[in-house]
Amino acid sequence: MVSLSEFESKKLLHGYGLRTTKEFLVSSPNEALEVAKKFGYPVVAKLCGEGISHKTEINGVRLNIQNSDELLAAIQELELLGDGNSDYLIAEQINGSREFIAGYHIDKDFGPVLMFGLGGIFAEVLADVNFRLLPTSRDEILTMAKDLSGRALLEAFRGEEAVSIQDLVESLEAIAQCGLDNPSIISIDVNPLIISNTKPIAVDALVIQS
Amino acid sequence: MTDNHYLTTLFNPKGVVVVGASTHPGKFGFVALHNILSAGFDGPIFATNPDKPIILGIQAHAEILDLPQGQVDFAMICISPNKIIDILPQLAQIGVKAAFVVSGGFKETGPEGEYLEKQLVEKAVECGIQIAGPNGQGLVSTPVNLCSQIVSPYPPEGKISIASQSGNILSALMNLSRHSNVGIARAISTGNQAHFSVSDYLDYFCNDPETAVVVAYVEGLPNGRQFYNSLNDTASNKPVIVLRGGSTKSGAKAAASHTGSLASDHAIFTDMVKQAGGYLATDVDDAFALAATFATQPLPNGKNTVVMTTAGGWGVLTADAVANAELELLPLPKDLESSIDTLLPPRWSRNNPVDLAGGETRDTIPDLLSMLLEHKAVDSLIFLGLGIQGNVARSYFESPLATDGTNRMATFHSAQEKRYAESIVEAINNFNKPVLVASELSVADPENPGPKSIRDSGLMCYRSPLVAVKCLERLTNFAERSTTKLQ
Repeated sequence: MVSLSEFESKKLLHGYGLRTTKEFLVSSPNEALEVAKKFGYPVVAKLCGEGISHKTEINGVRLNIQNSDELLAAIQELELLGDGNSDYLIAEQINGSREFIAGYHIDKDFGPVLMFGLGGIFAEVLADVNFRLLPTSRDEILTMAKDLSGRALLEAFRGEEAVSIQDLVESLEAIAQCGLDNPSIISIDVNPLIISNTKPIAVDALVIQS
Repeated sequence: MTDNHYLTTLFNPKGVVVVGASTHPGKFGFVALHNILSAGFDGPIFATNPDKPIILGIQAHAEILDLPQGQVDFAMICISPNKIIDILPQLAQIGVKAAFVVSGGFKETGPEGEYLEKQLVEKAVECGIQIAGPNGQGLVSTPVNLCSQIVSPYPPEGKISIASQSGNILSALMNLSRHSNVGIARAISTGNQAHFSVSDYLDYFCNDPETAVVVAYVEGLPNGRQFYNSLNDTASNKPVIVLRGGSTKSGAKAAASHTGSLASDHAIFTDMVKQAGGYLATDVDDAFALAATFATQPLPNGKNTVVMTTAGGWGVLTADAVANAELELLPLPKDLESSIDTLLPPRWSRNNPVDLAGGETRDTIPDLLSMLLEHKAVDSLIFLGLGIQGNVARSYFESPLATDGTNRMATFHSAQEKRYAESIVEAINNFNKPVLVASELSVADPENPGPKSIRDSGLMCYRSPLVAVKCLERLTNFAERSTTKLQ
């Protein structure tokens, strides 16, 4: 089993049409500052490298960095968590109060399967997710999204507009296609998939190959 | 076409032989022959037994090759597992095309049995015999009056076909069929599924003209994708109900990921059934009630449901259930309300549920039922309160205080119940709209003339209105899907 890094995972998925965060891979604090300047603050800094698949568990993510001082401090902290060979991912900060999870895996009984559901830190506790065997139709993907217990989150929510269903379905199709096109992929995790200005955007992703 | 299906002979044999028939009423080889004889199978029936006894009036033959050529195309095999492979060529020689192997001692016993099972299948394929089982309790096929199984019961004739990975669950469904008088077309216990799995049977039921509704009970799936494909094909043709037993740990290779940990075996199974267009039943009762609904009710034109009741509380609970389901509790149209006024005294509910509030006279119920179903806004109806008068009748009949008066009243009540039931059946036929009758008396007092008459007519009398609502919801869903497909 080989995991692609977050950066590589997103790059691969982006190639299939999934919206992902704008980000750069850097290896030094100076590069990080340059990138952040280009994006404009706030930014996000993450450890990125092989074997760092559960960044939040090792606390390898710094969100909402407001200025260069905070960025340097964040990089310093992350450096201590890494193995010395890790790079840093500097990404735009995505704001949105709705987090979903999307995924793909090869099921032992049914083969390739697409998943979509409520994401964020409660994803596994709520387990409000639906599955569709692949390949499947656009209609089925739509049904899968609308069958969630938390389907109300797809409507207008806390001052945010309703999720663009068209964009959502296209994002899920992109994940499905990426999995189906690459037989070596045994699983894809996109978590969270945040809704920003009605469109889903992959803020973190993990592709695992056999 | 189903005539060319590889399982056609299994379910429609012309002649039957019980291989290993026994003289002992406690043995499988006796029970199987007994059941085949007593259900009145349509064709010639033979038996083999090395001692050539007469069993249940049938002269057993010592050898398979002693049987006449070309009269038997199905064998019910009840001999020890290691002897079966050797007799398959002989069976093929006399014209046998399909067999059910009751005998255990195969895969379920370990590696040696598994090897034997593999050999059994290979030999059967070589001999051109479609082999079901082994280690199963048999099959039922009412269109040809075949009860080739080592257990009871034999269900009434009907339109429901079942493939079950458990003989026990198959019997349970057939017991419910007998109890409710909603019948079965084909029913097979798949046994070890050595050659044919539940998917093969779904495939057969899909184009079988005798089958209107399919029920599948599955535990482990030897090939999940194949099952999905068969389910998908069959469900696009007729309603398929899936009941599942056992949930194993997810074997997803991706356990390191979120997707893997969320992808429990059952979560994917549940969604797979939905995606394929099947209906997942929650338990055996649910599976049977739903199958009976599909088998006996016309499809509604829409979601607008009316609850008609002769008494209060159940009506309220049913209204709640309808409101919570994917159904509409139809607000009564003004013209319908005015029409009802002509039939009922002013105290009726003036709302849906249409509660008669005890305002019925001799003909009110049949008349009101027709009036409701005739209205174009009404798509389906749930009927409550059947059996209440029959209940009074029972108390009067059993009463230590019985008088001529109470007896006369009891007789009238009983006749009325029967009349209501008949008018319901008539209304379903006249208006081609579903009417689901529910009363706990169908289980609490099955002989009550209300529920009994419903049952005698071949309709299901639901044990609870809430069960009826759940069934109507899925019947309506199926109707909507069928309409969408036609457009």
